[in-house]
Amino acid sequence: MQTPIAMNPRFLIVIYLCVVLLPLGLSYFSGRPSRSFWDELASGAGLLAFAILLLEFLLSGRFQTVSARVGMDVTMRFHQLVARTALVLALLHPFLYRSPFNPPYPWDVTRQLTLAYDISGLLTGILAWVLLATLVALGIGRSQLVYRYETWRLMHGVGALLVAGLVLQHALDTGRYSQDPALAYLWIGLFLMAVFSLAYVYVIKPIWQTQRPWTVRSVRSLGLRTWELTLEPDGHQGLAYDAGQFIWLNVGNSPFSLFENPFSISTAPASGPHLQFVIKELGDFTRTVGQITPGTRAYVDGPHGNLVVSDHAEPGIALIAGGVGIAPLMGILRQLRHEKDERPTMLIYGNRVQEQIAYREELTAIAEDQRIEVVHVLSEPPEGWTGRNGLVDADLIRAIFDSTPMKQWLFVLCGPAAMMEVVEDALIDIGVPSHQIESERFQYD
Amino acid sequence: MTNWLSTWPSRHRLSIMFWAINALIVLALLIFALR
Repeated sequence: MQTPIAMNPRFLIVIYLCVVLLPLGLSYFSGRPSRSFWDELASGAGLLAFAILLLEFLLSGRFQTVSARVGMDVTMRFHQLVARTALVLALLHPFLYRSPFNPPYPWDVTRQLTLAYDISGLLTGILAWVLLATLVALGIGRSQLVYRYETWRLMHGVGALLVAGLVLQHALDTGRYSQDPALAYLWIGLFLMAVFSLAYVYVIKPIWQTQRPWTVRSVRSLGLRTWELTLEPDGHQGLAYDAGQFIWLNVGNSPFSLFENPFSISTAPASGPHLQFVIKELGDFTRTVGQITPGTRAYVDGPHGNLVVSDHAEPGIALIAGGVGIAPLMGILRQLRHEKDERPTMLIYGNRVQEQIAYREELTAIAEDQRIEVVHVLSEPPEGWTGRNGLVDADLIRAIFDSTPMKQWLFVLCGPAAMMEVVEDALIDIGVPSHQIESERFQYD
Repeated sequence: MTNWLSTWPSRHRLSIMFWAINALIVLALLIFALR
């Protein structure tokens, strides 16, 4: 179920740019006399960095309006990339000024020739400067850190809000252009929006989740270090979602805790209100999945994600999965079968060994349907293996899809990043337009 | 434009968008500073 308020990506980019550039525009037309090139460059860099920083909260707030069409993975990657832009602008900001070398002139009321040396304003700026650099550095190097993901996330959220508060004080206290009421109110408005974004994720959504709890119905082994977790709604109708979407799952903890992980839903909406997930033992939480007992309370934040086929009309559908990436594609396949979709469908499912194949019996049954073909690919096949050998790579893609009719199909990819890059490049190489390729990455940090 | 973009994988399209936004930001900053 695509959210009706999801915004067009191009429209979002235009809005994003307008908001980022608005403080600069207000300053441009403030009527204040301009100073030297370097002073104006310094102020402009500071204004831009603060605007980007405040919008970072919105980008990471899991708002459907922002990420439903663009994709949560793309939104988060963009959040990470523009943080670097904000950091560069913020780092340059204090060093570009030339006015500090001028003596303070009491008659210079527009601060045209000198800067304010008010210690409280400068101190907050310096603190924010150091803290922002630390935050971005910790974010970029997070995989090298010893902290748990949840600890890092808390530090990142609280740290970012602290930086935003410090910069707000710095701008309102010492900023030349931020003295104007229009810009001052814009900063306060954007800051309140940032506070709301954090409150939405950490307070409002958890409160809503307490009204819609779920219960673990079963946990069963699907294969080598891979589990299937089944949830059922506890006293409510369940979740309105589209096949292929994902949720943030919190099992056995308070909804206010930060212990949640993204998992794709492997069931189809048509199969009922229960939700299933394919979980591979990889990280802190996933290693303990086999120990979860039926009856455990769980909370769900979602649905999220744009890995959906319901709004596509291509003449055929190719689902290409690697390992645990089968989960959302299984949901799509089940939904297509339930809807008796007439289009030819092919599932290419790559694994290392036969024991890793999830839902093998169900896939065999599905393959008896004339419209659906299931191709298993193993990189370490056992003796007597009748499926394909090797990796889901460019050669395989070319061998199967390099025909004119199949190039018109919709291609849905989910799996390890390396596999998805190879497959997407190969599909584009044989002439499939990128708008016919849907993909979503596992990591949403 | 759409056809040209269709020949790029999604990860490259994100990079293109990111650098295009950066270029616009730098341009706006220069216009602001040079006024």
